[in-house]
Amino acid sequence: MSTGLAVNAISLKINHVAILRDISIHFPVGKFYGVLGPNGAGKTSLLKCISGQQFGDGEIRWQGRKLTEYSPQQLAQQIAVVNQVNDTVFALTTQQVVTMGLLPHKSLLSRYTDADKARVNQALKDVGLADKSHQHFSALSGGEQQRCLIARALVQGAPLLILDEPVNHLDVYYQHQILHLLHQLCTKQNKTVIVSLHDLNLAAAYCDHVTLLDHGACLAHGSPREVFRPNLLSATFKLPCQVHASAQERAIRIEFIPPMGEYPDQQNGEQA
Amino acid sequence: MNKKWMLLIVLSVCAPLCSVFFGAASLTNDTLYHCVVAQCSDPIDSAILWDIRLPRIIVGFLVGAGLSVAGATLQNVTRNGLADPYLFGVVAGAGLGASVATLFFNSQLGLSWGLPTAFYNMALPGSALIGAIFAVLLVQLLSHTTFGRRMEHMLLAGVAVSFMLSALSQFFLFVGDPFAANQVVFWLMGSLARVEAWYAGVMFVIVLVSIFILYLYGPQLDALLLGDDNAKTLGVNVTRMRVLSLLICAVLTAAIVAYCGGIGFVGLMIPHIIRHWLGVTSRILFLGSALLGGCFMVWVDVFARAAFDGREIPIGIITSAIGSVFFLLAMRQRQP
Repeated sequence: MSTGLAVNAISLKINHVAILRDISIHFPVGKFYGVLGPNGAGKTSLLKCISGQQFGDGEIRWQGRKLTEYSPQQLAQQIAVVNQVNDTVFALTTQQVVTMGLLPHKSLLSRYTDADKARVNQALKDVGLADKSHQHFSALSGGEQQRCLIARALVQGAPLLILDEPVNHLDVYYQHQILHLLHQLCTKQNKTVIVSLHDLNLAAAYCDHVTLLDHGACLAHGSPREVFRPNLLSATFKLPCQVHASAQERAIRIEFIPPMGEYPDQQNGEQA
Repeated sequence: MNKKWMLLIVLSVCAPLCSVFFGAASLTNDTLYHCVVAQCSDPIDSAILWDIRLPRIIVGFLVGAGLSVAGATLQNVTRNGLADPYLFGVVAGAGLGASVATLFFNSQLGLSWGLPTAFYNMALPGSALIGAIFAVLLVQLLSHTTFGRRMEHMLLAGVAVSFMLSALSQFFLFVGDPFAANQVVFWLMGSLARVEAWYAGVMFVIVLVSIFILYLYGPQLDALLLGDDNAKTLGVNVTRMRVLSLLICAVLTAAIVAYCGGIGFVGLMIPHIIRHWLGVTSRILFLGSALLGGCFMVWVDVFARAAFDGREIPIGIITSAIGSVFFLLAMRQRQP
């Protein structure tokens, strides 16, 4: 039985438009993975497929078992997800949203114990929202909402965490704090974390492996040093690029050089 | 237990007890005391208390509780604070059933069939129940096949089906007997005057079982407040949860509408108050709405039977009047 997440020949079409094209990747357990690519590359669709929210052609297995063989509750015990678009109606508090992470571990007649409350409070503390536990979720800033949902994913206690652009609305401090926290989950608790990111330097600093997507296809998968090659990044993001790598620095540094005049057409070659 | 819940429980106990004293026939303290602890001295008093007034109070409480819980459930499931049990075409469907029943079973054609009288008495509520369930099924079918599976499409399908069925029932009433039309119009205004003891028993089972099931699934329904995708990632079988909730709401509303007619705004107004007063999570919302909705309906019914001597106001008129004023005030309060 192969451990970890095995993605075999996944393709996805929505309204006859190919969103993902024959993607095959293996994500062994206990590592931090980044999914990267320009807008519309298929990052969110890939994360939705590997978290069991969307189904295309091909096969996805977690710990050797097909995702379709898990019941919804079993899947939620195995995979915690933070989606990109989150909105809520009515005035749920931060604490109530985080407590929902316990749902996959509860039966209809279960009660919430003191240990559950402690777990929720710890998660809120981990993401820096301990003082806002009774505030309404909708009254939080975008970044705070994001951290609240990450706290919910932590409470869920799943061995695989999938987060779609988790540092999107966060300031520099929390970008590093959250990615550090997620990285610690891999190193200390042997969890597998897959995140989609736009900031290649953050990916280089925290991810053990990165996957580069464009037009729904997987261009490269490997360590940041293997994937972040100037010509590949330039071709993918349609901007000149330099990669600074030195033996002394832990991570490599990527620098895109904006053109002085006309911007190249990023959609060039992209199918409608 | 906090003070708000204590107040709600005290109100829920006091409302039915106090409402026993109100009605067309006056029952004194002494009469009531004798009837409860021993036996009524007058058999008429006994009949008024045990066969008319008490079943009516119990049904009033259950109708208020049922409509409020159905409203609260639909609002959480659709993530829309304006969802109402009647948006799914239940009243229009029940109205069509009632129109058909009145047209056929009160006409010479119906009488010529030689059916027993009890059959005629049950024809209207029975047909209304069938009509209500037919409307709910039609809305479900349309929203799942023609319009896709989004919740707002289901609400739109409900509005379309309501108009379609109302047009049909109005056509039947137009071609039918004017007396029958009168009967259906009065029935649609809502009343607890026809209530009998057996119906109190049926309603007790339906409302209690529905609230119990919905209470059990409370955390799953809460997860739906974060959207379908988020609920799925928390292990909620969204489609099954939604079908189950809608089915329970349909049965609750159809059972109420079929016998008591159209009682609007309760399912919209009571959850709105509870959400602001006690909280938004489903379990709190269901229990709070059941208690407050029950109290509200008991007092509305007291007003309906005591406001005018010898004549009852249809309760649908009272609830709609209170509900509309309430919403205008709520909207005004929310304006900056």
